Amino acid sequence: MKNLIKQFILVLFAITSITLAQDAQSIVAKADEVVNAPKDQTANMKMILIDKEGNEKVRETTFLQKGSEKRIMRFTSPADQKGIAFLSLPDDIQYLYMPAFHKVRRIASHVKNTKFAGTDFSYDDLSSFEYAKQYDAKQVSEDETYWVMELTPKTGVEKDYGKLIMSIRKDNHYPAKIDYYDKGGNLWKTMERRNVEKIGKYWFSKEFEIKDLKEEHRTKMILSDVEFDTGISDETFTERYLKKAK
Amino acid sequence: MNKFAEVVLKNRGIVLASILMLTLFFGYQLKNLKVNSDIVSYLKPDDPAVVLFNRVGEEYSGTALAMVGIESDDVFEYKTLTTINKLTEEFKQIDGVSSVMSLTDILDIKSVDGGLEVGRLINKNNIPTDKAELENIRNYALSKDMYNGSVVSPDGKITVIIARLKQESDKIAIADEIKSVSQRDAKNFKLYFSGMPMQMSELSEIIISDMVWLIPLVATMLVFVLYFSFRSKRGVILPLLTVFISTVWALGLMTMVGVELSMISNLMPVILIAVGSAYGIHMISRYNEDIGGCNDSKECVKKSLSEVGLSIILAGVTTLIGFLSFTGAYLTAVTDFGIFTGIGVGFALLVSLTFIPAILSYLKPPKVKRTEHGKEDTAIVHTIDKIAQFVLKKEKLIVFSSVVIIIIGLIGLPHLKRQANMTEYFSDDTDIRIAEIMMQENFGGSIPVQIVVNGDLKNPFVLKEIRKLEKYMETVPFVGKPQSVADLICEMNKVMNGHYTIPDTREGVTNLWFFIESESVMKQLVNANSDEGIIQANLGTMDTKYINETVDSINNYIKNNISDEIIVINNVDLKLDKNINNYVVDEIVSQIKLEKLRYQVNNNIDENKLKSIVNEIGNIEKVKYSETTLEEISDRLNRFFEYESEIEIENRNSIDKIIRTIIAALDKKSIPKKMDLQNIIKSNVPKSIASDSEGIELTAYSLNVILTEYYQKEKILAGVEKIIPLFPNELSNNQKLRNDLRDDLWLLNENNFSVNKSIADVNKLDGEIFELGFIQTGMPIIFTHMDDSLIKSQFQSILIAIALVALLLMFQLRSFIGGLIAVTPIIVTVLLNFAVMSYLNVPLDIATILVASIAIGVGIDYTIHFTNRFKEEYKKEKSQLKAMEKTLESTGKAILINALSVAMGFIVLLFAQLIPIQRFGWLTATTMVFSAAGAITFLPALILLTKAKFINGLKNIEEPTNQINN
Repeated sequence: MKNLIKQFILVLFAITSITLAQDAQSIVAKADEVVNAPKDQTANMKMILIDKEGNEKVRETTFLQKGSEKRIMRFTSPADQKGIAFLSLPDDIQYLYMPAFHKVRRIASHVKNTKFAGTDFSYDDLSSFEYAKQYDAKQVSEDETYWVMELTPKTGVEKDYGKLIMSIRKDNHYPAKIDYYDKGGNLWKTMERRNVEKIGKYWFSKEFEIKDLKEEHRTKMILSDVEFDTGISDETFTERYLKKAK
Repeated sequence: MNKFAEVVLKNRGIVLASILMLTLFFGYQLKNLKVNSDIVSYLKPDDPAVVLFNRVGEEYSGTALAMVGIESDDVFEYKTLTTINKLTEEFKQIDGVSSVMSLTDILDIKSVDGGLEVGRLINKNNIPTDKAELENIRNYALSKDMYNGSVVSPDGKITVIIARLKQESDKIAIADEIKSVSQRDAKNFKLYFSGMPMQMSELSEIIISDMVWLIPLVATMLVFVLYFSFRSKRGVILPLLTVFISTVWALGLMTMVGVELSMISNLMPVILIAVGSAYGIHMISRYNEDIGGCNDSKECVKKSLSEVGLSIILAGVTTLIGFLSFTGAYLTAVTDFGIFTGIGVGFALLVSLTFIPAILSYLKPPKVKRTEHGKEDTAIVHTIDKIAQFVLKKEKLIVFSSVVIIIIGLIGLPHLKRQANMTEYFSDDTDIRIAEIMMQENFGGSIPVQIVVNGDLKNPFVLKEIRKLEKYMETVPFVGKPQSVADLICEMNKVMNGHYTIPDTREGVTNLWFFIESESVMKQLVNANSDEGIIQANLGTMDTKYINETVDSINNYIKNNISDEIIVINNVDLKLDKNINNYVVDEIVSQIKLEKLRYQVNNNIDENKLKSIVNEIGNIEKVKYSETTLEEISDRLNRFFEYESEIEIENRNSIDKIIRTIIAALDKKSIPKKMDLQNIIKSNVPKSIASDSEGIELTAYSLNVILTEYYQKEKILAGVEKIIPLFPNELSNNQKLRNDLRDDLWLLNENNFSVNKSIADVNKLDGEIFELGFIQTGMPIIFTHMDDSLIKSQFQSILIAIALVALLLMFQLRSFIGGLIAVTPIIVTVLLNFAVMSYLNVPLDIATILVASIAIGVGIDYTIHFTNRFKEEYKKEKSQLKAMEKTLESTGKAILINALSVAMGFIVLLFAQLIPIQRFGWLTATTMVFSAAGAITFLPALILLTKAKFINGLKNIEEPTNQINN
């Protein structure tokens, strides 16, 4: 009898933990959904790169995105980088345009762990926001405002990170903060999404900050003139357009 | 002196108690004693070269490199790569490591299927297991200068992991951790540890182990010598205790004021044991002599002390001067050493004159065995007797031989070698030396050379000057492949545009720069504002002579070939501007001549012929494309119209027709005019598209860019074919040389040029002025500074020491000439030391530089003791020869005992692990023996020959007759 109770409790425990895990996974999936909700978006993005001495470098871009995977980022300042543009398409296809040589070049796909344009984001960090697909989630704690999830890469998914700790807002499922840990278990980067507000139908953060604790470097991204669902055509996300638009 | 003796003996209890207290106090300080093996910290911190070196080290983290070499049958095996990756990631976790570079984490810029890839050579998250794939990586890595000879050896069997350490970190602790992690996780591989932090770690181990082994050994040696001379317990224990006490005091004081042990510090206790014991020896020796004439030991001590005290003080003060003469030496380690050893000598003096008399006064007088002559019966006495017989007969011969020695010494002086490079201080069988030789053979050495570049590093013409200097550096013997931001820009340009050159526009540079800006290697090459950067290279020699030559040749090139102002002239058509064309042709010719040096070609290339060929290439208007190239162009245009063209043509046939027409046009004109291209497009597309005149114009422009590139490439490759025959046949198929020539000739395709200000002035060329400056830094230049300073410090300290000692002797002898004559034996000894060094190829280094001054400081004691005793004896005997005989028998004996014990002490240093310490040991030992020999042969001969006129108060000396023979 005792054994039966014991087994029952064990089974119950197993079921709860599975449901809990599923719950965590679906919360993360919901967070992905919230971030990827707009059909398309345009914005001006200012990137401020700050080194450990506090020296700042500012670069400005115009930013176009359709769905979660098609994106164009074109540099408008500083002057010597004006016109440089990136096009990202699904399946890790990326193109670069260099105005000095009037050339478009494909960027090889396995540069994922390389940093993007002097920022603290790797190409991978910037690729589509789809954490539920790539990571297994487990809730570690919660308080009144946040669920705190621990994300570990799914088997077969290649990541630089050992785990992530993601804080997701309970009110709107917006992922407010992610801590990135290296494979040795040390905190490597932190990313915060600030100024989260509702623009039209969508929740959106107008300021990101990512800190690289190893390099003692951080990047602030500030978005302005944000517009959603303006019906950007698929033609915009082509090499031809990348090269043509000034 | 009498009073002093009285005071000491009256308060003998207090004296002993306070010495005990002080010893306990200083002994307690020793617990904080630290070892400093950071060679850079030995350098004078306000030397501008050192300031720059340290700043570059801090800002570009380029000086403290800890390198781990891993040897295996094939580095490019899954197992080896996994280990490399494991170590790389583990090193990154060590606190104080700023970055780690290895095969599994190194920047790679390449073009894959027309795609640009700025990433890593090997993906650390997915190390290939497939043999063929590994073979591909191996071939690729070995074909690139960025890796071959930099992280992997040319035979692919050794690879290095390079950890850059933060400037303020505890480098030894990090080096030790890197070592232990490597030994734990790569225990199946042969490992090499090299670079400054590793050297420091090994050095500090050596310093400590030498301390622990050598000091007791020297002390034991002293015990033997003392026992042999005195045959009494007190004769052994008292001098030994004296040096023990003074060493503890000096080291304690050093610790208190925060001075750390350096690589020469362990000489200090040895010197104190060897030198400091002399004062005690003289005291005891005199006491043993006097004991026969008095009953009470206290009275006797007082007598001895007042007789010999002044001599001992004088001797001590001169030795002290010898050591203090190093103050202000270029190496702070040498200055510190001089000061604290000097202070230690002072302590030894103080203790000998207080502690020993106080103790002796408590002891019962010893019984001394006497021979019938009233002399002590020891072996040394017999030796002295023989020497005395010889000296008293052959004074002229002795003086003559000394003059010969002086001449030989002076002849050898200019041949004196120096050795500043610290790697050479390790003996051949040390791990550091083995690793260094491996590094030299496979990676061009481990000594970093850096050139600081001041100027706008995004300015293409500043980068072009860097490339020129780098190409020159490659031709300098022992200099490994230089690395700078210019090379990365060239790599990027090669991937983007197919040639390894700096683009001729700022926009071109910044576009490429943008892509590599965030790479961690950039921080090691250029500052945050990109207005200063460095060129890094390794030096593969340990020989100070070659190091000097390398430093000079790089500096000369900078001085003679790089202007600090350049004029940039934009939008030049070389075909129209003859002036600039000539300049460009000259530039190309000089670059091609450098290729000759780089490829070690000996045959002479006729410069005028070369010039006319280059001119000819520049004038090529039309190129002839091969069928394959035409196909390639057609494919390229196909892709262009399909994906990139500004106007979108959907009709396949139209595209084909346009391409065919363009290809046909190439037969007449290598770059069709934009108007012609527009017309070709217009006539082959539907009206709806043809009316988009802006789109057509832009498309024609893009086509023009593509066709121009093909033309330029073809023209230059045709040019390479014309240049190649000027090189030896065996190089005609060398693809690397062909690529280099292509890059040299590429200048002919450019429109913007920079000209040195002076040339621009002569040719009245106008343009924008840019400033730039190149300064060499790095370890080699520090070595050359040390090298210069070794000679300077050496002569400075010798002159100071001799001058002060001469003054002291003049004062003691109350005679100017007398002082000068009395220092001559010392000068002879010093010259003899240099003669030995130059004829036996013993270089001047951080330790051997000390020998001459120690010889002066210690050697002069013999002169002082000897002349003092002679004066005293002469007063009693009134006969020069008798007085001399007595002096030789008494003081002469003490000198010999002392010199022997000192020499024995120093000879022990042959067991030291550092080469300079070994050399110092035997050299000082020899010099001490010379010095003593001089004091008991040359000095008496000199006194006899000059009739001792220089010794004050002995004016009416009799003629020397051969009384001794009667």
